[in-house]
Amino acid sequence: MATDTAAPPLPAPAQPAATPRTRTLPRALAAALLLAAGAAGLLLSVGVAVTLGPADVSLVNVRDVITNHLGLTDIPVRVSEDAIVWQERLPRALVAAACGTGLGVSGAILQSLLRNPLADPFVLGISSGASTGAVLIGVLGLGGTVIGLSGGAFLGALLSFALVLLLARHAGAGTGSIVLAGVACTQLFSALTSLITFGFADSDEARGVMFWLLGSLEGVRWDDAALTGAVAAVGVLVALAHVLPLDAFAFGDEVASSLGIHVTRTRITLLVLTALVTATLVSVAGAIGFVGLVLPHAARLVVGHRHGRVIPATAVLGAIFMVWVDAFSRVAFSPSPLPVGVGTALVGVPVFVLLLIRKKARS
Amino acid sequence: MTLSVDGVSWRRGGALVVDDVTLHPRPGETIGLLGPNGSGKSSLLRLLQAASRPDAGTVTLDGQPIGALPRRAVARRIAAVTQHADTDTDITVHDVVRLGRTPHRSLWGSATAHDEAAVRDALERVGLADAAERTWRSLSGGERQRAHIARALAQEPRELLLDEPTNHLDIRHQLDLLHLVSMLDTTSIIALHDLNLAGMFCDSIVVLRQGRAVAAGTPREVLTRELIRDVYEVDAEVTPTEEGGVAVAFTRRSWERAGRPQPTR
Repeated sequence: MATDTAAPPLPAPAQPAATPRTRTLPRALAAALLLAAGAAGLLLSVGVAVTLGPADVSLVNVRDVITNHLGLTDIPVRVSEDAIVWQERLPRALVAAACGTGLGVSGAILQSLLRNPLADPFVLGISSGASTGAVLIGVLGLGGTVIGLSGGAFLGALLSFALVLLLARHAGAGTGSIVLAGVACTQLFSALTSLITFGFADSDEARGVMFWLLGSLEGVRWDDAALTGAVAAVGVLVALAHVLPLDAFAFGDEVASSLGIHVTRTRITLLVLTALVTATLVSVAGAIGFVGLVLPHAARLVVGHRHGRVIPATAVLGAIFMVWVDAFSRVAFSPSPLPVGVGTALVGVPVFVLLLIRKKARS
Repeated sequence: MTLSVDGVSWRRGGALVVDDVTLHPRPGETIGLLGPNGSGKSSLLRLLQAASRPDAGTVTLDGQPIGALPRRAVARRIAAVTQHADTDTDITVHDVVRLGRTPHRSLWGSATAHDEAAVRDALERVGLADAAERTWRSLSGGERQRAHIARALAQEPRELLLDEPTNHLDIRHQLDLLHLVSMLDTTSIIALHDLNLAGMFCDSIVVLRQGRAVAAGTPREVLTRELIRDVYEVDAEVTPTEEGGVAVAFTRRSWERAGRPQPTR
């Protein structure tokens, strides 16, 4: 060894941290409490949101309707109230919650994976692909009733996603080229959608398509709630299984790889996951903007940057946020409904601006 | 047993960046990887951590071809600090170092007491224990570099690969860092530009030029005036030190002697 004689002084002896970090247990407890509070908040939000609307229903009646249908109780409730709660408002609130969870978690995943804080679930061209698919069916009548608007949107979304991956692969498959390919495809499919809408749709059709594109939960049923709920749950579970890789991507592919992450495999798995989740949600509820962009940032402000906390927090916050925004857009301009995507943007943009200002003030 | 490199070549974008390199480190040794810019130091380090596959030759870890080992198993043995690893997220120093525990943690399990102890120990070794709760953005370049080193130490590797780890560090921290690394039990391979630091802290030195290993041995054997003139194209004064290493000095005159053009005014 070159240093065995006259060894240089040891590095300045590090002071042991003043307060040893023995906060692990209280922190875990705090996290569990936070999660429990979130779940309770979500339940309450759904309950209250269901009471809102032109026909007045009390919270007690909502509880009775739900427990009746679950077979727990047999309390007499008026038939009209039962129908409004069970057939209309409850499935709608649940679809809203599933959309908030699914889109929020997809956004959180993509922001880490693409190392871009402005990434959202639509960065891969999914919303514009879905809209092109929808107008092809809705305006041109391709596929007729076999596929339907939702089916067309789903296929369009996946087609656009596949095109993004193909383009990105030819451009080098780095995070930058994925984002650029997404931008290119978004522009392409938006142009196609406009072309079809202006070229072939009459004003009623155009209005219908526009409304759907902005996100609409009009007329969703229990099978929609089941589908979106299942998809959102799968999204959350797979994301939770990837919290360590999601953390490790913070310093890029090379560092993630040196920490034992299969970079390419992980990226493909999570990109396909977010594409499937987002395409399904878009096909049911349209392209609801801003949830996937803003909610992960809001969650990080509350719980920090570890994905083990960001994912559950985004899932819960997203669900609560969407339930309230949907209730707002049902009630605010009643009887004419407001597209829920307009509601999320009206709430989301100010929140986003605040986040940006706060970020600037801190740096 | 440790890493071993036999006749490795790697072609990257048409150019042969690593050309028939053989390297057999002794366990626990600190090896300095020297050579001018673009001589293949970073590329060789990539091959050593199985981040890329060589076109010819083999890299083995304990006799096993490293490309055939699971990534996680490699990451439990080999830690690497690359250049230019940066982030936009407002992650804390503690969480950066905690990333080093990634290959040791199970899919669903939370961090164990041993994980936390390894993080704390790594933070103390690089002198960042008091900065644990600071955010990445608030760190100086040198503190970021030390945080990366701590992240690698938290990985509890037996092989440590460092690509110009003394970048951005002031002289005191350069000395502290290399002293720390040379005292570790790990087999450490360090790409360096500073010939003096290499002469002071490395047990052996390998010099690369255009991907080829042109010299290998102890600092005294390798760092000669002739080799430096040959590889770096500068003239230097080389003096043996009492510690057993060498000190390399450059002067303006030695630079001009090497046939450099006069600086234009």
